[in-house]
Amino acid sequence: MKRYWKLISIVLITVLVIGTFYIQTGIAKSELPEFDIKTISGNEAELDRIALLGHYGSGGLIDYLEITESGTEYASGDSFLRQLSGNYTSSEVKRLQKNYRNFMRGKNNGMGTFFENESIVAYAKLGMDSMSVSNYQPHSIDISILNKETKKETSFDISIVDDNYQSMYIYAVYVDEEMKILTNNSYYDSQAGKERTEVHVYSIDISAEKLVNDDVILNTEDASPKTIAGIHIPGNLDETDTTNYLLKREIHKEVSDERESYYELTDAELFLYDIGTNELEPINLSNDYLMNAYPIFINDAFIYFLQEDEGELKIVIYNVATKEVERNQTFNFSNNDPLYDSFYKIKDEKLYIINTYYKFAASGSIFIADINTGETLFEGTIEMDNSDQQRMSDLYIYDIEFR
Amino acid sequence: MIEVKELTKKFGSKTVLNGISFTADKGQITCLIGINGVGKTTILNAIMALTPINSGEILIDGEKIHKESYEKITFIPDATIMLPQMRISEAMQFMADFYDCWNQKRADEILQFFRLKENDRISELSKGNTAKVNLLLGLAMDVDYLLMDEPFSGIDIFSREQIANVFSSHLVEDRGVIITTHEINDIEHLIDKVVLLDNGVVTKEFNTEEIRENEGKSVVDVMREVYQG
Amino acid sequence: MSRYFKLVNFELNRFIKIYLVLAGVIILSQIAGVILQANSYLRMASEIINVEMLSRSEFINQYGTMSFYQITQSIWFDGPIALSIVSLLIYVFFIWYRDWLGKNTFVYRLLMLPTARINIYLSKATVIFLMVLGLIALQLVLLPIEINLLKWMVPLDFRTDMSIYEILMTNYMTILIPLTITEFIINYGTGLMVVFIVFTAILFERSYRWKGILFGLIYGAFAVVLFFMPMILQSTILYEFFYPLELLALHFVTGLIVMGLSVWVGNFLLNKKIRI
Repeated sequence: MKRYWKLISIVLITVLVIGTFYIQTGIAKSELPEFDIKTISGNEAELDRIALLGHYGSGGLIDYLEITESGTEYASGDSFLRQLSGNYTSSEVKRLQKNYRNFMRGKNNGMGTFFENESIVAYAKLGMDSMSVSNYQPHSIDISILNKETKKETSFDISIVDDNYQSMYIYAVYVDEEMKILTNNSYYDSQAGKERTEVHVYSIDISAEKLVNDDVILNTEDASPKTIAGIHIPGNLDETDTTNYLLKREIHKEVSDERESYYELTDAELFLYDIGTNELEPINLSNDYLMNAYPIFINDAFIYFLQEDEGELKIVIYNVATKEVERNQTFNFSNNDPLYDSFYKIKDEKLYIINTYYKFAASGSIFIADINTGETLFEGTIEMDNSDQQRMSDLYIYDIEFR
Repeated sequence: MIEVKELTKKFGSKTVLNGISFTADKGQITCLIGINGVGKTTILNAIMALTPINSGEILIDGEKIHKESYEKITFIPDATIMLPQMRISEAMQFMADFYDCWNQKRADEILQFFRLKENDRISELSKGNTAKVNLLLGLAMDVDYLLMDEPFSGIDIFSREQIANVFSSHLVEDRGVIITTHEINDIEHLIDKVVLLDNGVVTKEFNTEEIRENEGKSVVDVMREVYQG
Repeated sequence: MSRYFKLVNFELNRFIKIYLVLAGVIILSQIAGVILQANSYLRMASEIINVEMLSRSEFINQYGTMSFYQITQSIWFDGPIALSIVSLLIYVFFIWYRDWLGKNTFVYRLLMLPTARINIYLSKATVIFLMVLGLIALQLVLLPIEINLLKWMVPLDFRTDMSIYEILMTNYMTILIPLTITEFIINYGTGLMVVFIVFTAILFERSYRWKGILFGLIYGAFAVVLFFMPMILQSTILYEFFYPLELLALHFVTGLIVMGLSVWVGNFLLNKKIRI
């Protein structure tokens, strides 16, 4: 045995050191700060089904995290295998992957868009000429549809006739009687020397697997130099939640210097686009609303606008059927962070406002209110535990997830 | 008994051994004789499975060589095969570690007989002493068969005598020995059997005693007949 | 004790001198690197503070603090690691070829040992693997020492402390020392597989010499393609077909197949084709 001491000691030391290191790594990760949601007022039960997604860190060192009622979970704290199976996959897509594992194969790379209703799951993705990164020129839209009942999968391509488009992306996919695909297509207008953008709604007959209509609802070529037009895709459309409507907003401006770097709003117009019928119609609201209210949510009956009025927060509820403002709902929101630093979401008739960004040990805020009554359901702060430690890093919340 | 049957070996397109067959018995010294380059060493390598063969079969006590065979048969090549930086004592330790058949008592005896010093490094030994160490490491194993490749080549006259003496001692007695050489003068009286090789074939295989008694010829006489006649 | 362990021990002892030299170079160079860099930073700080009449905080604002990151970016730190990697890579070949070197060809002895010849192969692989992990362990022991040395040399105001994990995360060293045990197993499992592939390729060369170089290269290419087969499928005919975990599982399987195949082919060559 004596002659083997070198071998035995190298093996022992190596195993011991590396073993200790990996046991400690687990412990050391818990050294990352713990964030807690502290109640100021309201019912904590409101937090039960939400998770705040964000990242914490500075510079190149960023760790993704999830804050829930029960505490903070860092992505780096996950085992490698969990990290591998999708830090960057949204919970919606994860759910689809779980339920429709085979259909979802090859559809998880962030290249396409999903739609789900009771009977189908649909997926649309741009067909590129080559797999190389440098060539993004799309030539088709590749569509896959899963029939939930028969489990049958259909796939077909819709070719895009106009090959001028240099880049495209899909905003949303929507299926009712027909399939609608909303895209943003851009091309270079060499005559004007400008990049042009078009927003298309492609209508597709699913059974015939054919393109039946190509509706351009916005074209920057049409706009005068004094107009900025944009499509507003309500926050809920990019999820598999569904709504029939889109908003198109045109802003008219007065340029006050030659370099067009500063302008004043003179007028604004808003149009409602019914995806089902391909109809675009103007929304008649007073200029005050059109210019200052920010649409945050649409469902089949209402459009919700957020407006800040002399420090007071207000939700304007517009009734699509009656084409009138149903009512203004004010909220007792005590936080005085600027609006643009916050994150808004409406879900199940509740308004969620989360302050997205804070530095060092300052606390963030979360606000939940009933959208119909204005009653504050929950108000709280997001605070760092053991904040006596000096931390060099920032927390940024970029999304809220409902579970 | 070691049986070599129809052994064929090619190096590229050149056939070195072309259907060699012979046997070597336990308790006998068998000598493979042939000019340099005739493939004597290759035969020993093939017996020890140190080089692939193209066809033929080699049996040791009726079975093909396998890992336990190396406790029963050993090979003493014409150069040291121990690490040169080792001391003789370390080389013996290595042998004791890996071979159950290592006989330290016998090793000590040979060490004394050859007047080797345990603490000498192999790399610092004279050519004759290196050969002796080589012999020591092979002979101190309790094996049934010993293969020796040119044990006398390039060695001074005194060492030759010492080594030759080993063959007539109890160190070799009862074992089967295959030895290769291209000059047999030193050991003619020791060997029991001769296998003459030429051009990749066995030209003659004979028992030295028989040929001396029956035909009154020495090994050299037979060789002269075969090679010149 | 089995002959395999004896062989491992024997192979270890043949390399231990070079190995200890490598370890010594790592220790000396990295410690010296910490001392020299900390000193030069402090000298610069005191010069600038005195000459340009800056306050401490002004200096830190303009020139930044000292952290272990600067240490890891220097040749004092990287150099010996690179040297060790290169040495061990060379030794993967030398561990075989040294047995054929010179007129004292030790390979005779090795091949005549009364043990399965594959044990020679496995013991050599074990020693390489152990040597690599040994140096990793050395680095893991050295890091906290170096961190504390830096803390001891540079006053609190002038430094930003980094934990061992932050140091590893900001460095190519995450490949050598990944932060999770799973990645560690994946990286070193793959490493061991590569050692097996190279060993088998070497044995092809040792068995067939000139032609063997070609066979070895073909075998190596074949093994690499086999190992990456799931990835190749994933990016061609089965585009994005597998989920990440499935891909990992498939690589685990192909990795085991390649290792098994390499050992099996190595065993065949050692038993039937090897030439001394």
